[in-house]
Amino acid sequence: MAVPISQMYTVASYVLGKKLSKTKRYPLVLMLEPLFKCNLACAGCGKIQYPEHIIQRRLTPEQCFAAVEECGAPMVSIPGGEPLLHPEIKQIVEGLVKRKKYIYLCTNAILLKSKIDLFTPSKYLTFSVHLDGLKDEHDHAVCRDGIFDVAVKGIKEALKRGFRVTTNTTLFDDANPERVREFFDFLTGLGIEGMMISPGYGYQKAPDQEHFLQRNRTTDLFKKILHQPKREWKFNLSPLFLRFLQGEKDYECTPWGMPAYNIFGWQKPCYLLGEGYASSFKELIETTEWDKYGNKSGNEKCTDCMVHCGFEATAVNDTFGSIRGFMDTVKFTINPSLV
Amino acid sequence: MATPELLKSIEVGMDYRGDVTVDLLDGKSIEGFLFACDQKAAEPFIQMYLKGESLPIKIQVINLKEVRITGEDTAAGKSWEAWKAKQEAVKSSAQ
Repeated sequence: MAVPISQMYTVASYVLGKKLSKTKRYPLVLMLEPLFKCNLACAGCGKIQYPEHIIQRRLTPEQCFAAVEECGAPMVSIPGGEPLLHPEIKQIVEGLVKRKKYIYLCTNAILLKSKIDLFTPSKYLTFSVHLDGLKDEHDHAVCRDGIFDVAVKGIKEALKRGFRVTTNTTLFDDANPERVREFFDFLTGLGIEGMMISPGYGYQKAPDQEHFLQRNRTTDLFKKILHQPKREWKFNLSPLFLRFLQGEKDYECTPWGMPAYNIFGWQKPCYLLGEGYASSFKELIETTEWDKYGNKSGNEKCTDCMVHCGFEATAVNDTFGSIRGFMDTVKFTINPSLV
Repeated sequence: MATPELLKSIEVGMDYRGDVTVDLLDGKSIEGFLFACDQKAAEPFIQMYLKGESLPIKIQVINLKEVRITGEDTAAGKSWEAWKAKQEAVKSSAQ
């Protein structure tokens, strides 16, 4: 299974259109968070740290569609919380499919088997299952035993029914590279479409030297994980982002590339940092002080950050922004073992 | 013009992961979740969600006296640093 040609064409023509119109800041993926309620309490997750009356709130399908239409991104990721807990998730997904958006419904898969009948297989819909490693690592990361097995059953059921399935994995610098590689082998054996991996986000109030060491720890980890990658491993990522994770590319983040919308509005400046909210996507783009963010901005909260939601858009921009970027993307796509 | 103390209390309230109580100059108090503050608007305001209300409310900063931390801190002990320390403790006890 591979990414549909129609999706590749849609994204490529969208990005090229933005380049030709000289649009400086454009979204690639909308991070649409319809609720923060979750059926897990993973340690370190800030998305569920709200009073109960906030946890119980959710976006309506109409609010979701309005956000998607205003933003215009060709892809929509639906994280949370746990989206399958939203009582109108069927309507939300159907509305986005009708609008021909490529959807990545992010789920811990606890409810996937029980709720899968709500959905119809479509080239527009992918279940992106959260798995942070093999059984021991994943159950430890989500602070509950047995979740890995439930998630794998959910993946198998979704694949059996013809749904597109990917995984999303967050890795911190204490990850065991060999175990991660075994994990990639395991996922490949399941037959999923692709794996998304990202370093975790850790904001540290630390002197500059500590930040330098932290970035080095991250790139060292990914160099070990991705050393001589197996051809059969399929990543749902730009190969240039994988090069960035290994320290082979020097990128600045593109926080507007994956803007986040939730019950508070359009989150400034990005999916991870909540430093205010705009009432419209236009206001987000025009009023956020973008120069105050990014690795090179001097902002301590950004210094160590290498996460997917900030840098994948940079990598995609590089693919279409220069001959070198394009040729590198072609080279690493044809021969993934070079990544 | 908002005093430095008021601005500081708004900033603290915005960072807090629990409900706050906003004291107004007319003597009223409102409890809810403070999630936004726009100091650059023509009339600076804060935004809050109140329990039981479906839509957020806006209060102009000129009407504010103070923002107090009064609700439970839902992030207590759950920061990234605390999680890392917990991971280290588990690793040490396993060795």
